[in-house]
Amino acid sequence: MEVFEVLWPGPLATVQDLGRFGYQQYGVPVSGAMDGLALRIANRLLDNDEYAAGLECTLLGPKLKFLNDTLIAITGGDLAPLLNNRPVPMWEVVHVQKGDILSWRGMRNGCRAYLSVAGGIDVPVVLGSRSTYLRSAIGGLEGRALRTGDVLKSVPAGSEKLEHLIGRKVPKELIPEYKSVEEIRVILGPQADHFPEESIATFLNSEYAITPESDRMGYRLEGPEIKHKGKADIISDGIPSGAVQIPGNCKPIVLMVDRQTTGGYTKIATAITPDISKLGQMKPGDKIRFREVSLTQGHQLLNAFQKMLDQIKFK
Amino acid sequence: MVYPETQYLVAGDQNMVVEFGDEIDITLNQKVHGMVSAIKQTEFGGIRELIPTYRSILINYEPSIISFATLQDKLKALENRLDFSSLPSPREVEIPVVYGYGEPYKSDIEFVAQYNKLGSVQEVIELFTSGDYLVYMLGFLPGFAYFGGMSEKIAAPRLDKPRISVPAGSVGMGGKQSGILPLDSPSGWRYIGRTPLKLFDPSWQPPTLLRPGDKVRFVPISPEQYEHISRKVKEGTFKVRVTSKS
Repeated sequence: MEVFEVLWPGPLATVQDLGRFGYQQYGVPVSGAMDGLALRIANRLLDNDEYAAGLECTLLGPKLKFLNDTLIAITGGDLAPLLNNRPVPMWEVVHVQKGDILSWRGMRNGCRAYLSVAGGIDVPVVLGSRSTYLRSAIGGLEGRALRTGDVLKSVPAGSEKLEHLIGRKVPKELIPEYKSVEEIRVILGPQADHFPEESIATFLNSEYAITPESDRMGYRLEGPEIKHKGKADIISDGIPSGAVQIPGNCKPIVLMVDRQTTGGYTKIATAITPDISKLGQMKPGDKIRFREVSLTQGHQLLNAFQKMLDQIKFK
Repeated sequence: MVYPETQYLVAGDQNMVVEFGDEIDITLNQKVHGMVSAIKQTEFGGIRELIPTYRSILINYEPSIISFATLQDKLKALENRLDFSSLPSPREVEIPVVYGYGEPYKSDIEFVAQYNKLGSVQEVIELFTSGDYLVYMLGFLPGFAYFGGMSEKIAAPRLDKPRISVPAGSVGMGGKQSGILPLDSPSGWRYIGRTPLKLFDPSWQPPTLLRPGDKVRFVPISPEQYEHISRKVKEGTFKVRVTSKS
């Protein structure tokens, strides 16, 4: 079913699901939603498949015209969505009608909103995922961001009758808060031993600002220098999600969903999974403080995060 | 060096780096590919994805299914059991390349000859073609193979300013490393030739022509052969020569 037409694409709107797994060994990045938690919640609200694709709208959302009646859910950063020029609630299921116009007033908190439609957005599945990887034009809508005039389709929803979903809401206490100053918990390593103690202390006790040289691949940070014991480079190895690289200029880079699969900079630490979605809502100018947790604490926090996810169900 | 004992490094809450050493070395890299195939063959619950590299494997695991410690123990046991002398023999892939035909290939191959004080461009071609190449790993771009095996006599420094776009199929070197661009891409390497073969296609399973652990042989072709093979590749009728030697 044709679900909407793009009247104006905004700065960057791409189709994303939870990512492309299994192909990093061939050099294919994971991609997927920068804030996987928000997309997951939007899909759960609509009884969509966990891996259904939605629209990731960055900074300012796209202006869309709905081509059919359907249900939508908007989650993630608050970009002040409007339906026919009137504020439309986020974190709940909303009924839209043919001809309705979705637009956005602008960023209030976070920077990426997720628009899910009943059934999920339908683009061809490439290497197991609908996610867009812009750099190599893989997945999504022809491997690119949305443009004016694009028409997107939806996957047929699991059930014919969806009216009972209208008004379904995420309980307030489960709605994530997005702040412009965040504490990001990290586990030191895999190359923390390439840094002297003072450098580790600098890393953990300083504030780092996200610079404009930041995108879905990674965030370059500005702040006190983190000096290496010896060389800044290692023989290239695999880069996990949330890795904090320290290149030769001694300024951290946090690696996000479109990161290269391998690289040759030392990685001082790795952000824990529950905090990667938080990072996904941060924008240039926002500030990060890193806090160390142990692997055991990291696993406890991951466990708690997964329990919290399990709580967000509506069936 | 190859470490006397394999290291198991923590890389966040869901990843482990299994590191066998810290150099670019054939024996070390074969150990990586040997372990990867052994892990893939073993019923290892809780492993989501593996990234083999020059000298390590990044393992993405599910800690609610397997703990870091258990994973480490299982990997140690597997490594001890592994007979590295009886690993499956690598595939050998033949890659046709036209050298110095058009730009930037003509300027770059001339630069490589001059920089290395070689008598002619032909010497560059002979040295490049005579190498036994091994795909140490894939990375940087989808389908980009990092080769080992190029003669240091044709090593060439990167450009000071990377070119904005170099065509897919370009074959070249950056320092002592060599590789083929699978997609049009910005690059600061020197490109001496071009292959008509497709290196990456997301509709293939797996999506790349080259796989970690493959051997590669470059075969010089003429511009006419390049055009001919190019047409056949586009039609989907070209058969790449892949052999498995025992």
